[in-house]
Amino acid sequence: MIHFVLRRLLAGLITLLVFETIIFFAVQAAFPGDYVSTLRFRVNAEDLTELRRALGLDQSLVHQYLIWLRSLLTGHPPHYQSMIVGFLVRFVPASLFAFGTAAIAALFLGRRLGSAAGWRRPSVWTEGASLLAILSYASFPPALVLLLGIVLGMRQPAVAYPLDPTLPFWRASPFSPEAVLTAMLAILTASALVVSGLGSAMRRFARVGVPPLMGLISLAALVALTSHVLGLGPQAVAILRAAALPILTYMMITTGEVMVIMRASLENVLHEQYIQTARAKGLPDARIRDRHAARSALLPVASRMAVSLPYLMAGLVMVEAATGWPGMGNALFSSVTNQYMPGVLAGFLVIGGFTLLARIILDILLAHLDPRLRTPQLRQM
Amino acid sequence: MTWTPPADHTVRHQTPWHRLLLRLRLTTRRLGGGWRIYRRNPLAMVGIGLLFFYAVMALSHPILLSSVWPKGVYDPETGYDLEWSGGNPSPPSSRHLLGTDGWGRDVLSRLLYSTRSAFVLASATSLTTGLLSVLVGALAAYYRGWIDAILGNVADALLLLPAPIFMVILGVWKGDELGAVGLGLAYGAIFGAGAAAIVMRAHALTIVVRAYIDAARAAGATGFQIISRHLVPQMLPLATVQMTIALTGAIIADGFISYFGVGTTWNRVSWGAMIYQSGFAVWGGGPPWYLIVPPSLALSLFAATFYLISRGLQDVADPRLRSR
Repeated sequence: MIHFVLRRLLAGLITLLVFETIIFFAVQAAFPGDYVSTLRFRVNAEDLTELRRALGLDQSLVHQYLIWLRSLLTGHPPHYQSMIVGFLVRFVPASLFAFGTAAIAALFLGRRLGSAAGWRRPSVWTEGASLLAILSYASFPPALVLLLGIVLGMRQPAVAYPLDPTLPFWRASPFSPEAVLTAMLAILTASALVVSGLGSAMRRFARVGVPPLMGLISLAALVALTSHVLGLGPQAVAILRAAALPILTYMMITTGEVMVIMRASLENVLHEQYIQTARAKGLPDARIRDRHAARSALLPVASRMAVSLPYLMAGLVMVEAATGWPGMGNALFSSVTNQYMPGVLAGFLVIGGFTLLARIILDILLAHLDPRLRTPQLRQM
Repeated sequence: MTWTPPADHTVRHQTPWHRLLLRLRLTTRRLGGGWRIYRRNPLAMVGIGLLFFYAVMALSHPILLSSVWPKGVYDPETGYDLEWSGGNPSPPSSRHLLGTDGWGRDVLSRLLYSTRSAFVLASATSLTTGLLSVLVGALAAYYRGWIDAILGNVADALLLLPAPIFMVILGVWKGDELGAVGLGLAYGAIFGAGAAAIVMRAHALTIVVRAYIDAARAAGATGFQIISRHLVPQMLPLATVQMTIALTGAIIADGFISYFGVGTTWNRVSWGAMIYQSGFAVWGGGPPWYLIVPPSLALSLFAATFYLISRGLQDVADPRLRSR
């Protein structure tokens, strides 16, 4: 297993390098001028050439690429590495908080809905549910944002900046929105770990699991308690109120996709012999569906989701841009619309890096569950 | 090799013309079988119905414009109704079935005209995706070795690049030169050589190990002949699935680009541009519903159409994934 992990990490690093190369040259090709030309209305011509020489932009593209690579790896010249770090610190916690929560919730919900839809005989209800799922997956995210905004009773849902630091609420509070978001992310992760740890401990020692609704309520209570104790109460409420729209939109989109894939995968598993055995044993239908069928159906779902991760990231960018959520998608989008190329490069790197991380974790998880995937020769089977 | 007539006098109709006819007949039989499988999936039939509906939408616009609608009034870009006294924008009425926008243009006419741009985008994306994914998948699977390593690594790297975001970049920075065709080509290139190529390569690997490939190689077929005659036709059904999946993303990405007012918002009449331009309709309180809902609905349903079709095509393509 450890060999597999090491090999996968190495392959991931190579992929990241190839990706960075492609990004660099593709963005340079798409960019109309170079960075200095965006200043051409404010600076006269000789200073422009001087600036170009100082920034190293008069060298060949390959040379610029090597300088950029060296800056990323060694931190000299420092502006590229500090840009990435700044990106990570300022924007990623916001995205992780909103869309990590939404994605995990969507995974659970989509899994439940998909197995429920795939378990029964195809009827008007199952096909209708699948149709709804496809419609929400393929719908235009800004339109979905507007629709949900109207449903939630928001007056100006699109491109509002509820977490704008210049708002009087945030100016009066001792913490900046980014700091509170990072703190909320930490609190949420810690609370989730505590609740799931308690759940597995209970399952191990007390032979009774935690029902999901109780788990959710205790998670919410723990988060509320911790943020109140840390003095973040009103800020946390403001953030949660602002986060409701992007989280709900993203949940709708992702649940749609997970549900459709899960349903197709479960229908595949239905004919296996162990399902027949479980029925013959007299197990309740719901338990066969959840404990036996859904678990086997998860494997192909996970491998399919690995391929569609970039489109989930694209959905993230679209929802963030449409709701004004200050995450990495919006940062990337603003950099693109303002033609700020270093921001674009940094944004792509961070998003690509996260996609790669998610894929590596997914591959390792799959290899842990299915040992055949650990050796390339057996993987063809 | 030149064709020589067979010696046996009972073997008739072996001319190239008859061979072509036979091949056509076999293809239609295979397509008919595929259609029977496709028909069983109700969601896929909904997709076909929606596609038909959009085709009617696209075709009806020039027909309407040349017969019932006076050109000056209903032109999608420059129309203005001089006899209209309801003010602009105006809600749906008997004269303007979906109302008029802030500049007095008929909303229904613009909606129907945008379908054309959407279909152009769809064609460009699907063709590029299909070509690239089949090419990359077939080459990587047949030749293996360093070709497979390079193509696989490039595909893995492209998998990290969200194609819609890159389309946004192209739309912002080079939108005026590119238009629908260029954007579709870009999306198709990234998706086709990335995610789709990985799926097609996996599928091609299952074909390449079959006995008839070895037989063909033993009979002296070149790599090109094997790929073109045996590998590619088997890969085509799954390629259509990838093409339709690519379309879903491309349409949404294109709408997203226009929605934020970047790219070709003013040169091209498209649904996203309609939503963007609706923001200029009123001076406060947000645009009216009849300027936002029709294009959003059209956009979302168009993307959903191709996803629904992809579900049906998947039933046809991969027998393992068929239910019951």
